[in-house]
Amino acid sequence: MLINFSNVFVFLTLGTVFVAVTLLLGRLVRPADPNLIKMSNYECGEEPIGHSWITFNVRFYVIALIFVIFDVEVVFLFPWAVVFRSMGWIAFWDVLIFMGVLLVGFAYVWKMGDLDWIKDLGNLQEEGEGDE
Amino acid sequence: MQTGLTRSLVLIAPELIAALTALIALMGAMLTKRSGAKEAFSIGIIGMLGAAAATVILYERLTLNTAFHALVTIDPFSLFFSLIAYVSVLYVLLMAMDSRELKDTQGSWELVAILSGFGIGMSLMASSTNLLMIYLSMELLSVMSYLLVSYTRGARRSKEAGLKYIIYGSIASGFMLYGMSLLYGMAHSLSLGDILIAFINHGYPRITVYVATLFVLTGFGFKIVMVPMHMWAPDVYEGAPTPVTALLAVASKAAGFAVIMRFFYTAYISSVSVTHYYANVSPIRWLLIVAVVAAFTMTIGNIVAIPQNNIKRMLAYSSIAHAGYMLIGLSIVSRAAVSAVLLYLAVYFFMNMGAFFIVMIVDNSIHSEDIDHYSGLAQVSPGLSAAMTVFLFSLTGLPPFAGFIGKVVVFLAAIDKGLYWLVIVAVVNTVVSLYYYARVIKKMYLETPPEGVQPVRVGLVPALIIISLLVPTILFGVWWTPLQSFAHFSSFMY
Repeated sequence: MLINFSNVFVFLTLGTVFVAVTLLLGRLVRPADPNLIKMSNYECGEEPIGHSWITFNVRFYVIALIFVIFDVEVVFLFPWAVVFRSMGWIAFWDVLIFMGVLLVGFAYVWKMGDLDWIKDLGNLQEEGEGDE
Repeated sequence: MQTGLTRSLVLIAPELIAALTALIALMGAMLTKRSGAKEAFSIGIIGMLGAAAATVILYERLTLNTAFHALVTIDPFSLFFSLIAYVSVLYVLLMAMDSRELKDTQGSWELVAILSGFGIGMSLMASSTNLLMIYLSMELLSVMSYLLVSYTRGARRSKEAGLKYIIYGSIASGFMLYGMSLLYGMAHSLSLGDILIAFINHGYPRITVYVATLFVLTGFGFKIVMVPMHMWAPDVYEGAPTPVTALLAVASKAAGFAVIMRFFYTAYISSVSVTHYYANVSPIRWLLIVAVVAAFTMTIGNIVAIPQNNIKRMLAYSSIAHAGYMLIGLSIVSRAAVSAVLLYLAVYFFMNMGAFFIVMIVDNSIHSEDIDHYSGLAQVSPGLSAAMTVFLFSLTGLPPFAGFIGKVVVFLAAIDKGLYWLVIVAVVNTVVSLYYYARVIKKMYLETPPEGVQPVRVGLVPALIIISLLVPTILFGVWWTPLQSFAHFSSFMY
């Protein structure tokens, strides 16, 4: 079994050597002339504004998380649709419960204002203080 | 098909009840004003009581059953851990009601929902007999723990702990996933039973099996705070709100042991429980690895616990040491060993939960977790100090208390298999541990309290909770037969 991995090893070695040799050749051949425009980030022809290493707004992650939940829902619905006919009513109720659980989560996110881009933070703090 | 599904659903009734609790809690958060702490906790407590009751009913009705195409196996072993899961969550809810740290947090409804999810995850971890299911339930437990650790709003310590926990946890689960993929590559199946058959029928290269096993063990070891993966525990235990620390120290660890035992006893060990025949069928000597790791775990835990000044940190290292004692039960293969670990976990639940509960009550009153601030506590609140003394002596393993029985049973199982060196290491470690537990007791009893210190207020409900933990800690120390037979029956695994 281990001997089968020799192919992988040869591939890895060749790959590493190839990359190293190409980079080395390029370094020997190319002119070294760094200037400001050359060193700037390539943004599809646009002039870059500021650094690309900025802190993204954390709310993007919340939106992404919510998106993932509904993505997964669809992933579950496809196989369900395939076997729906053969499984009958039980599959129907099954998926209805599943969607119901997801809907509760969705309603929660909605009600708690996680879908609003502009947040009323003052209100939130008040609520926190009133929490005895 | 339909009857199979109904049967499966009946078998996971406790999890369904807990899931329903979580859903109701989420709806409660939406429909009520955010101040409904009382209602939230009542729903949570009722839900957990229901789940625990369903577990007990299942435990009495059946011996073993697979559900959902053998993704989960419901047997006495898994139900034992389900019971620990729901009872721990119940106690943590009761603790959280009094907690100063959790008082002004995001919301009690969400806390109930997250804790119910934790219970489901732990319960499923103990019953999974499929690598995919193990991974999923473990992630459920982990994500809930990450949320719980950073639950205190605004507390930097808690946020830092949460971040550390999530980073360590992700790496550990990445390792585990890699190990699982290697196992899948060898056995061409995710089912633990199929892996066992593959081990019997094929001779796999040792190195691959070693790598796969060690990687999987990394993920599991992270949960039980096994030594090379123990770095996160002190920081996280210290930073998390005390009820959550208790949950991590008791329930999370129990879940880790459940999944380790399930994994090794189903996939690596060929067994016939009736004739007490157990044989390691994998090509590697993993028992020796576990034994060495156990020795390191208890030694490092105990030695580093000595200089700690924060009591939660001290208890974190003590929990590392206890993981080491319990790992002794995993470095031998016998039914006695499994039942010894179960007994130890049950005892550990009472004494550790009790110790953390008192730490929390003292913290509520004096706003400090420093051991130095426990000076003279016995003079101002003698009852609380006496209870703390019992829990700490029990954690040490002194004779009249339950901790002693737990240790003795594990050591006897090891001596039975001739693992003398490990038992000697463990006994020496127990002596070392007496020093740091007794230091707290010395502070409480032999030092004078600072000027003008108020007695710690203990309400009626917290007092009753402490008594409910204190009584088993003393009772099982002198009359352990019921607990032992319960553990022995629960050690039955499919």
